[in-house]
Amino acid sequence: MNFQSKVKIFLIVFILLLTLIVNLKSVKAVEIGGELEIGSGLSYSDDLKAEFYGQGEFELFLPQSSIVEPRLVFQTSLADDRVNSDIKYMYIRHRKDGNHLTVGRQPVSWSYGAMINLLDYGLGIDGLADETIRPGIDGLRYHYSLGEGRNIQLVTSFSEFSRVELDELGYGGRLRLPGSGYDLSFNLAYQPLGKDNLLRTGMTYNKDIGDIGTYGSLGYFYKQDREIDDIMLQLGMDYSWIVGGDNGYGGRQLILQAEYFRFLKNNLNASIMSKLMIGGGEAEGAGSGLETVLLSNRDLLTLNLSTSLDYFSDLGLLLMIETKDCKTVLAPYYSSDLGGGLEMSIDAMVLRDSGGDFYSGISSSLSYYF
Amino acid sequence: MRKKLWYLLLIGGLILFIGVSSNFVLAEGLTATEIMERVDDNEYIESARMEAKMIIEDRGRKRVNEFYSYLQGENSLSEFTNPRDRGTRYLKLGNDLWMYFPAAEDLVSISGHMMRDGMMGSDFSYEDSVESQQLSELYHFELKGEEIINGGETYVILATAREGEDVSYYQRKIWVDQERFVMLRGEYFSTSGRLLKEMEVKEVQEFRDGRYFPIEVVMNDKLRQGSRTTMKVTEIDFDYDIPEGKISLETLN
Repeated sequence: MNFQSKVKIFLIVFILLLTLIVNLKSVKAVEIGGELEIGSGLSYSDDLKAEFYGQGEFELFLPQSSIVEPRLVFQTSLADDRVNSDIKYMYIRHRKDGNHLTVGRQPVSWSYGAMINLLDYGLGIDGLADETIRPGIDGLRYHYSLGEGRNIQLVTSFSEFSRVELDELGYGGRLRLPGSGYDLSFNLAYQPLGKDNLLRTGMTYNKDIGDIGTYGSLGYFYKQDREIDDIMLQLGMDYSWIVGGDNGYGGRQLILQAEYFRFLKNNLNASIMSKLMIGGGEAEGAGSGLETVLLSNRDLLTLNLSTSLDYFSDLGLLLMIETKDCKTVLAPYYSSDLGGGLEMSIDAMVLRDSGGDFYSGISSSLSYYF
Repeated sequence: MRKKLWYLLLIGGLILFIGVSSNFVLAEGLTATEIMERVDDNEYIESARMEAKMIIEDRGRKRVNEFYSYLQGENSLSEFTNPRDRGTRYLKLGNDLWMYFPAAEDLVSISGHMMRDGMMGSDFSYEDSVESQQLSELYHFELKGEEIINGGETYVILATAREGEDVSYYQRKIWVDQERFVMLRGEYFSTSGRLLKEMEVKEVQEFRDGRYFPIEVVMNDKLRQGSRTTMKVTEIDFDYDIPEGKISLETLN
């Protein structure tokens, strides 16, 4: 057993014991919940490849007190005859007077409604077909309330679990100022990036203009050692409308979300986000190659059109295009709630690369929530 | 002659009065507005803690969402507890709606146009949940007549949105129980007169303070064929002493 495994086991036991001690007077049954998923995929570039996989996520819902909140989530995956297990989240949160300090492996999300969030603490991807990546870190986070929902969040992250190298620490802060009908944030992050460091600072917003939801971000990116900088601008909107129907019956609501980002000086691109060293669970940081295919460009236009076929089935189409080489991804997706906690998903992808070659793939999965 | 003129004026005045006001003065001396004020007395919640199930059915398939809510006037905080949505929270502050995602431990505001969408995939829209003012503040009422529903007498009232009020439905046809003053049925219309939704109350319960409240309501979105959502209140404490700051953005952080 290596050192990291020993540290993880020690921390798990420590959290369980602390939870027991803190809640000794009102110990409740510990519940377990999560998701099991099995899936298969077929992909074709030069030849046809097939894959089968299984993965699971298990959360122990530990008793909480008014001042202490522990959280423990495991994740495991089976692919290519190999089983990988990791801790997704393992932290203790201490609350006092509306403020809180969280120590351990934890999610840090600075979302504002965008599908691709380049001013998140890590790479934030939300609702790109079936793809969602929520940044997770190993470190500390302090949340200070300014009242009425406004707050300051301060983050320090380690580059790896149980390894604290002072020159590999990451730092970040977010001032969030939500109000009636809008959400405004100012973000700052300074993190190790391989042998370099990346500084990002900027603002994000979300506001309705009439019936259209709008959002966007403006950020300054600076690679410290190489002394390269760039300015990133993102604009986005979402809108929904009802089409078809017979005398008002059977109409269908279509939801369109569209966003575009561009690095104005063409010195950097979004793929650097996937190289940030902020720790976190392995599966959280792994992504699915989206970053190499789509984010290594100066700009990207993303369109997501979706509709509910009924209350149990959703159908959508994702289109992503970058303007320089016209690399394009077209990805239809479908999901259906089968009842009893079962959900089926099918998604496909056709990719056109910069040379005009095409790659395609289709995958399906069955998930069980418990 | 002068007497006749007085009688004519009196009768004419009465006819004019009845003509103008027959739609809102009827039945045991109660006007439509007074009836709806009594409905508001029963159904409008000043503050409460509630546990409920949302049963969504569509062409043979069924899903059950469970949640609990803290309600205080126009504001509310709801948290889902069923496995698939466990920890997902909705915070309504006035006309603003925020959603909290437990996996990311972060919240985003719901765009205004999404308010028409079904909440957690149900026939109840976000808009339905946002509109929590007293109906008598939002609508003008006309008493259209009386009908029997399930053996009980009801007032049939047409509610039309007051000018300048931001309402989910421009018009509502409402059937009010004459004994208990709760809504038993509702039809909701758009400005163009399109029937958008139908609501039917399946069970009404009397609470300790003599208040009647519907605890099982079926909503049917007419834009969706074959669907319906049943909201079953499993527990409700009226005038619940909600801790200060519980229904706020602070709680979601």
